[in-house]
Amino acid sequence: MMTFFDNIAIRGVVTAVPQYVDECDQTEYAQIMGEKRLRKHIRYTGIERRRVVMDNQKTSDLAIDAVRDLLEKTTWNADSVDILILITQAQDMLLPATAMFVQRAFAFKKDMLVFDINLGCSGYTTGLQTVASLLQDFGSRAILMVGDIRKYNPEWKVTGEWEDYLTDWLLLGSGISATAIEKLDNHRMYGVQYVDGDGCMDIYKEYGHLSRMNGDAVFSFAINTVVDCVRQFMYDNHITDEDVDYYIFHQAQKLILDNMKDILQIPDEKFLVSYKDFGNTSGASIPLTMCVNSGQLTDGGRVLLCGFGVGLSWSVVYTTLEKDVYMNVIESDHIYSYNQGK
Amino acid sequence: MTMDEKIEFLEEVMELEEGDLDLNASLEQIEEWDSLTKLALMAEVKKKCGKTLSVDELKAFKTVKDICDYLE
Repeated sequence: MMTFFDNIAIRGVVTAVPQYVDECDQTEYAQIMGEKRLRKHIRYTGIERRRVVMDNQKTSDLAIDAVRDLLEKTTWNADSVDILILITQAQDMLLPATAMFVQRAFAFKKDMLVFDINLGCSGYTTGLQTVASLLQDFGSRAILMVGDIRKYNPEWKVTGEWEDYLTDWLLLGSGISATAIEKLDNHRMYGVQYVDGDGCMDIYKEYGHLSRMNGDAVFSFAINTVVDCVRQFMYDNHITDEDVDYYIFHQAQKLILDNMKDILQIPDEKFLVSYKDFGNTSGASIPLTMCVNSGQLTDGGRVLLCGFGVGLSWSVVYTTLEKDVYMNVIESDHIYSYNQGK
Repeated sequence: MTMDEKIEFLEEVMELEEGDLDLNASLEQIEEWDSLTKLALMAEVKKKCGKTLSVDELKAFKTVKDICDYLE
């Protein structure tokens, strides 16, 4: 499904990550996987460390940190925001939607649209198109929050899931991003969106269990289906490599990204990454990569974004970032959720 | 590709020394034939041969020769 908007602008992007850094090259992990296998895993995935939440920090805590900085730096009054959407698979609770906790933390108005969407690594590019579409009918300002958190659970060792899960654990990082999106004439956003429910069990998580991934199928999907989609999207919209300053893809892992880059013949200097120090942060990985590379993006630029993952789902967005767009990475362990249960 | 080139290609993918790979070897017996190497093979086949190696085809490989036959 193709989308096109000529009145959507990104005004700011902030990503909040927890402070604790979990190094992949650890004795405990080597003891379980074997030293040789662990080193190969790190070399192939390119992921050396990730951020992990500690104690009782929840998704809404990081989202609140990101939104606070975003509102301050964009000088948006909270009550000027019409849409507040969170795309996550790490909801604070089954009910209510985690976005409600964020709404409560600020002086947002009540006549606004607030809800969660359950989506993973394609969340940002799908979210941008969803918000852009909603803004045609609901107000003029939106905040799109995207991301997931990872927290170690000692019970995994008891249930015996830990050893199987370790290779996934070493990929996954925590981060929640918030993007300020405004309806503004003469700002173009092109997009495309796909879902293939036949792949719904290629990445899944049952209640009370850890997530599971069919690595072969997901890898094949990324280097074939997603790559073909990017190529077709560029062709359909008459976008050539010269029209793209930076390509920012979901930070799945190095092996996938390097191959997508090679097959699409994307020059190294145009291909922005963040996986080495932050891992795969699910839906937050594209905005996090923007924030981490904000030095290169300060002059603005035409960006091609591509998210892909659970669903299986994949989506692409092409837009131009303005010169003064605010981007920042903040670190926080702050917990606001102490009274959520009341 | 000649058979020697195929073997050399697979040795590179599996990160083995030249001459380490036996055509008739069972893949199960090769320590380097792990999940990451399988992914690397999918990618290299796509780049080198332009072919899309499916998950089912990958699973059907039992010996080094099976892969070489596929590369034909």
